Amino acid sequence: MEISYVSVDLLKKGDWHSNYILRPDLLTLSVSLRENGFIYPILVRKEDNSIIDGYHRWMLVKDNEHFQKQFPQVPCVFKSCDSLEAAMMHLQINRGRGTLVAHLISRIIKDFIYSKKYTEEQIQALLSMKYDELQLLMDGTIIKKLNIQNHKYSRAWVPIEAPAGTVDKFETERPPNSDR
Amino acid sequence: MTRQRLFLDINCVEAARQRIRHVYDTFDTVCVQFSGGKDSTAVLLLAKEVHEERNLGPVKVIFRDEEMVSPLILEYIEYVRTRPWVDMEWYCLPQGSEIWVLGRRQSCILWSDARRKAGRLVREIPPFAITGHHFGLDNSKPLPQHIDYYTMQGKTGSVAFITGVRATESMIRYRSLVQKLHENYIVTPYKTKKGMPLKFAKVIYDWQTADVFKFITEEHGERYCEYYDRAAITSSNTRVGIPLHSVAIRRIGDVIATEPEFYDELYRCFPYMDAQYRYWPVLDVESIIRKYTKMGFSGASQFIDDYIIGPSKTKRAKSFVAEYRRKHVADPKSYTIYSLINSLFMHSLAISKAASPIGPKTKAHTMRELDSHEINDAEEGTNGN
Repeated sequence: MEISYVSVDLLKKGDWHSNYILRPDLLTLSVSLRENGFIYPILVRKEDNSIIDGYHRWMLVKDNEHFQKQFPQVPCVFKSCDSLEAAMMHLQINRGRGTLVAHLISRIIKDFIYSKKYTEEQIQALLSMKYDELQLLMDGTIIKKLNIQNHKYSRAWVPIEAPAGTVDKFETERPPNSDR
Repeated sequence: MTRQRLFLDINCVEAARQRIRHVYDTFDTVCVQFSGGKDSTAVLLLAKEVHEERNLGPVKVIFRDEEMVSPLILEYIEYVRTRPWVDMEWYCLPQGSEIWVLGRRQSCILWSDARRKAGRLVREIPPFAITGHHFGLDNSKPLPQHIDYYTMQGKTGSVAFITGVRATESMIRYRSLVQKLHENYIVTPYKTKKGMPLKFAKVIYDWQTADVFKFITEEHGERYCEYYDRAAITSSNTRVGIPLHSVAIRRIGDVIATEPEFYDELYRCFPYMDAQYRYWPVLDVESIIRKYTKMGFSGASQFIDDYIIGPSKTKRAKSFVAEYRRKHVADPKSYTIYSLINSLFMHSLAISKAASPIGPKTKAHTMRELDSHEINDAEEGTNGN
């Protein structure tokens, strides 16, 4: 694999770009870029310098003065292909990225804390994580979430006949988020 | 029928203890219907208390294995099965089910021989399970009787299955629990053969989720299925069950968030389900419903042709439409074509579901009030098609 270093101004967004990174995740990517630099190159279509993979890292550098100073040139791998092949590669790479699993992240976060390698504040900063999320990952049990220790048992009830028009304000337990 | 709740001076746990003792006093055979979930764990522990008080030996437990059971739930059921105070009957019967993907529903038989031969069972039938073959049934056809008919075979006298159904789970469950005034929690199962001496006893009907977990962990010091901790971290649903039917699959993201390996197993057997996860959030459901609504009752037939796959579901859908049409003729305002297509698309088509009218103050009613012109115009031109 031949890596070339080029200015960000030479590159452009591919028409096939179909991946969206949410703002908190983009912040995490930005922290990673600042701390670690480009760990792997941007994949570019040789024929017209369109980005196949690495658009968000390119965008962060292009839109940020500090990054432009840090990375006057960015590492790229150029691939010769037609635009449909480039689009196919873009989809293959993005569909094949995988997804983070919360209970496994929780285990890693606990390791961070127990090892004292990172403080809670550092973890929050490095992973763009808010305090509540960190607490949940550090002690995420249903018992804690429902505050079972302080819960008092509900009162028992029986149904009775009521005059017509009576409204019994009964509430069902809904899932914590909508369909997903 | 108007009902309201009368709150008693005892807590729900004490009330449930009284109810379950009454069930044991009343019925010749009592079994716990166990799913591995938190609610059936709570009723199992209540039954354990009675068995210990009365020295009745192991608690009889029935587990209806629906094949698409998550690894965490299975691990927990295996833990329960091997407790010395549990006597579990594990059933793997060929029940009819469905796979619902972006509105298209396809019939599916749990544990079917055809899928087993093709290597597409989610898991193998456990060697100790009671299967369709034990009842002389062919696993390529869905059960001819309701599953309770099979699970109560061999039980003597009057039989009660204790279930973990709670009123707060849904309004349907709430209504089922306030219909009767005397022994409201002891009910006859739906669609069972006349004369079958079986009742369901819903002894924890008035419990909240927090009551269930407090009872399991503090009163019994017992463990619960690890799934619930993963659900807590990921804000996932705390109800467990088959994940691919018309309602559950809309939360398939919960499976990925909690047990991605389980998603992969489901995908191996039903690869077309992946489209649900990827495109459900952006599917324009409303425009699909409107498209068929505009075609009137012929739109319903067209919808069945386009969206329902397999003879049993098609038959059920057609009979649902026929019943709906009769009601529509008598009361077109309450039984609109929009609501018919919406039901065919989004709701369960189980045999127990009858066509229901659109009541005032429901979301569907409000939507129609706000946006009625286009639909009414379409329906006026197509009524009686």
